[in-house]
Amino acid sequence: MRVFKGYMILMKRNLGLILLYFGVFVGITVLIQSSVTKSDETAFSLSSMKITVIDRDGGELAKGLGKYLGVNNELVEYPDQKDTLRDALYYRKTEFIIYVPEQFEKLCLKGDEKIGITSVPGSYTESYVSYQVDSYLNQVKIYEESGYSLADAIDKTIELQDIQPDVAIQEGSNAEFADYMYAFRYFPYLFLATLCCAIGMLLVIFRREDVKERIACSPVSSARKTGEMVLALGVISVGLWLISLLIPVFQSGGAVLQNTHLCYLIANSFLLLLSCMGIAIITGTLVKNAELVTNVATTVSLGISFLCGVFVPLDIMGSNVKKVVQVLPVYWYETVNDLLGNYQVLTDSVKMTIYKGFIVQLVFAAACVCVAMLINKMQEENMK
Amino acid sequence: MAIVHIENLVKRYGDFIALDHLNLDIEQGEIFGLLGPNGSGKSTTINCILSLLKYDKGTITVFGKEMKPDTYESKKRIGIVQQNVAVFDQLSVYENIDFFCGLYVKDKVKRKELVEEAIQFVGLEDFKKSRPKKLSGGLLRRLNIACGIAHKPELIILDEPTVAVDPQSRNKILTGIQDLNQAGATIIYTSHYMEEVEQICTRVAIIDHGSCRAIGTTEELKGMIKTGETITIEAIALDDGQISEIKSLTNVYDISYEEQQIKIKCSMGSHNLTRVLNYLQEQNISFGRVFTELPTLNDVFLEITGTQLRD
Repeated sequence: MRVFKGYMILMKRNLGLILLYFGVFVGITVLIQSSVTKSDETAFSLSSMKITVIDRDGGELAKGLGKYLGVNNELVEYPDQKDTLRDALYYRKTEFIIYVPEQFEKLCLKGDEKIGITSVPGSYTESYVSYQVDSYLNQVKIYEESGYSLADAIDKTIELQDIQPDVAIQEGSNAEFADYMYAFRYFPYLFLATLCCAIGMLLVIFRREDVKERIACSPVSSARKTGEMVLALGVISVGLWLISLLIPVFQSGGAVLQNTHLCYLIANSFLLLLSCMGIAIITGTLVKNAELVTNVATTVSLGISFLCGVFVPLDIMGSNVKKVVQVLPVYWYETVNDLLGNYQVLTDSVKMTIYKGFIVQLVFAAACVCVAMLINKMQEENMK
Repeated sequence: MAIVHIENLVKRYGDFIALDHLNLDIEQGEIFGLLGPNGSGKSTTINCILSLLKYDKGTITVFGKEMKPDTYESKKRIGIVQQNVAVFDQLSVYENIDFFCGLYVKDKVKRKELVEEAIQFVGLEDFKKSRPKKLSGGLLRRLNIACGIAHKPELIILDEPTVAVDPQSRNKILTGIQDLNQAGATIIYTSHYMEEVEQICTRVAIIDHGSCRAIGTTEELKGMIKTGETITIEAIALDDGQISEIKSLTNVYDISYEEQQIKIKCSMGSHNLTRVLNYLQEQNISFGRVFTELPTLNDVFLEITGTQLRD
């Protein structure tokens, strides 16, 4: 395992540079996370309102309305006195006053009686209260026409109000983009910068013509040399990947481990790692000068990261740019990462996009290795 | 039995013929010199022996086995010291030798001993922890040698190991090579410095334009040429008649007179100098310093190839 050890020793020598990239990455992640403001606009929650029901009818239907509204709202009781009710509205002790008129039950069931609603001035939720009242009356009518007695129809309608359905929005955002997802979002920059630098540097050092010749003169077979090189590069890359995965774990205080899509997140980041390894191997194969490696690593990592939506959202990119960057694995990594961050439940169509992203990344990594091998072969043939 | 046997080796780079039906046999225990100007085919020969280059025709056997890229048993017994310093700049002297030795020797304890011995052999004890960039040119060359010989190979190939090395380091390297040979290693030494080859090689092959023009011991090579002795005399105002008379003396076959210095080339024979000095005395010609030189490899090379060894 001398070749493997050689790679590891040389890696150790270049550790300072790698740590620098790692530090930059952690810095950027923390900085951006702290600057992102949370918004509730993307989520819906049930609103509870203060409602007063003035029952001038006293019938079953009117009492049922009170119970129905009380399921999701706060019922505030006041006597049927004009001044008292006006004060209650003024001081926001109640937001809506619903007047149930006399003979409401009799007239309402025939279908032409209206309920009066008084609300605080400028209230935009009045229509929501009207909707609840209409829903109640319609539902009771449906049950009654279906043969239920009025009492049973009212009970059934109130029962319905108690049922809380699970809602999953199929095509759209329904989950909050967690803080730790930002760390995942910036992985491409970290992997590209670090691997292009580390692997690129190692390959340049080992591919120096005279060193390569000296190793070629040794009794170590080509297959073994290649195997040990792949093992060393693999160990370095997987090491980086594992350490990187710890960042969101520490940032979220372990919350990321509860993420329902954790397996997908890990798989996505691993496939990204393979693609970045491929890009790094090509970099190391093409660049001949060790001093150039860091410049190339910076250019490649920043260029691909910007183009593929790591630092800026893909939405602001032109359609032509998007079409072009679709051949790059980072684009697909970010697409998958966004889906995993935004969707609580993965529908079949979302899963299809995720699998497509995985395949593109895998194929890209394999293609990079093939290209690197081809370049290597051509360079060796030229030498001979 | 020859340790290295090269037969009808042909190597082309496009239309350029780098090796043209080269034949060589290198025997066990000798220091074999490959002498030739830059571009004559020395390094190409070495690279073909090591299977670093594909060749177009011919056969190469090393330790009795045909040399191919996967002839690992033979490769184990070979050490290579390249023309360029082939070490890792990021590793220390010790780590470099340990790495390259480790490609041949797996046993850690044994390897440690061998690395220490190699360091001692090239005199780098005080620089074990130094990085190559901190070493002078001479010390770097010594490190290059240590990396090639640490595993104690039976056949050591040194490809111009003294290029751009100061005289002191050069002498140390040459002495070291002789020591390695005395310890039992067969050595192939390429150089375009004749004095070095003459100093250490037991047998020499003169290579030019990819083929072997002459082969033998230095004495044998010198015996192949016409020049036996070159006499140089500082003499004032010689006329053409006198020069012609000197040229007609026994064994003298060439003469030149420039800047009051007469250079007389004689073939092998006795009393050449006495005859020339007697003539000068008879003609009452004043003369100053007198030098006489036996033929060098440069004379051999000049006479065999018709050109000077280009430096």
